[in-house]
Amino acid sequence: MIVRWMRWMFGYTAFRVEGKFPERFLNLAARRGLNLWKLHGKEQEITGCARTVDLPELQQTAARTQNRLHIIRGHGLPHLFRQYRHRCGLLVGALIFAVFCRVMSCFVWSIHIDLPDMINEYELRQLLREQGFAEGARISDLDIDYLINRTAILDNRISWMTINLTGTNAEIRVSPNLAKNLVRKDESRVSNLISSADGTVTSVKVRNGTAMVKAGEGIRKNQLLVSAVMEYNDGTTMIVDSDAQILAKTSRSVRLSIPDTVIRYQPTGKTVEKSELVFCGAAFPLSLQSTPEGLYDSRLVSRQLTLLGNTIPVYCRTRIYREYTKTPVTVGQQQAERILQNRLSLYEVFMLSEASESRILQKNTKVTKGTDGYTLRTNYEIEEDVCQRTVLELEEPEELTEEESSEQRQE
Amino acid sequence: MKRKRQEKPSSVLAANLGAIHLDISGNREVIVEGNRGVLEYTETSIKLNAGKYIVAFSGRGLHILCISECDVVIRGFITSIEYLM
Repeated sequence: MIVRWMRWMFGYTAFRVEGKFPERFLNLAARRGLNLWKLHGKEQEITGCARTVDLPELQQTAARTQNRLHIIRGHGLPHLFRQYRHRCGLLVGALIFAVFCRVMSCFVWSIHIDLPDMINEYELRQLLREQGFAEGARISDLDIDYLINRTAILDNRISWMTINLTGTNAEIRVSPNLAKNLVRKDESRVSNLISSADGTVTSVKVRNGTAMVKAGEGIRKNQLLVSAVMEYNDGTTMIVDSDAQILAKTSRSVRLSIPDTVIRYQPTGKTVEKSELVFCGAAFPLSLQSTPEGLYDSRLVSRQLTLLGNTIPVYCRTRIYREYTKTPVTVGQQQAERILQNRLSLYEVFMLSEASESRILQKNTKVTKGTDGYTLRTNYEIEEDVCQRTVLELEEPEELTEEESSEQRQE
Repeated sequence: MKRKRQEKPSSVLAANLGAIHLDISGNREVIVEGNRGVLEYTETSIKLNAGKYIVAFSGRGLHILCISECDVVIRGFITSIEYLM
């Protein structure tokens, strides 16, 4: 194998010797130290191979032994160069490609993130981008350990994280922090809790601070519910960050309306796609279609291309346009009620979010038709947490001089 | 530039006895050391000069794989090897 490779590197020539006694040629060539191989003999003819550098001596040997030497073909690297000497562009192109591949392999071109549902991939990518880790980042400039630690500190939803760099691909795995209370508390903050609405208190649960109301009392909006000042039995007082849950019955009314003629947008089924290839920030259009005129909506689909199973830094971006028609539709009574009820249901879902622990005690709905259209009025009686935080701004105490502090002590 | 002639044959036995040395692998390949020249070369018969006698290889598809000053490698389907005085 090595011998074959060496012969190809230095070049060899296939030849044919004709004459009455071609064996004499063989003997003389061997005696002169010329290596011959792949010899095949017929009557008065021998074919074989020899090194290209030995060709002049072979010709002398053939002439001396009264034989005729014919060159069949040259093989190997020197012959290849001679064959393509007028096509140096091929070599230059091959060199440029090799350099291009070498340079491009110094950057990260593909980032794949494997993370749980509770962490948004877009936010994580933004966070990494702010620290210099994105597609196109130079690998030698990245400090992976620092990046991992910094990202885990900046996003406390991350328990641990790993970044594996394989060539130009980065694989990121994230494990979430499952601790319940992920909200950072500002230890220096002090605050009161005031009422967010008028109502009647049904339940008082104070975790920190002094309660100023009791169950059954009526409260007004912005009334103080929990005070930040806590007095202890030994006479000391402290100012704390109030924390409590105070449920109260409150009233709320909602008004939703819909015109009796609405514009309905319906897709016609016609779509137009415009694709382009994106490489190193430059976009190369793949279609000659222009942006369609008329009523269209569009969405952008971006896909990173792969070659032989490996992702490459080339993206195919396709913008898909869908045509719509505008149709005015008259809304009937039942249809209007259905639409308004759906909107009301959505409102109730957002109003009764899990965090506020609200529940509807009573609901009174009425749909009326006016000149403009249909109107739905709903009056609610809700039990909800009415605490609203107001942060207290405390002034820094002035530093007393020795005389002032001694006067204070005397007093 | 004239190459230096190799004085000694590669085989120790051949050097001591002045005889040709044959290394036969079945009937497909023969490595001959101490060869002094090819006398006949065809596809059915190859004769080598061994000094005091001639070694004749007969068979089918015979060819010399490579040849140097003192050594020859013959391949093919060898049916007989004769020593001719």
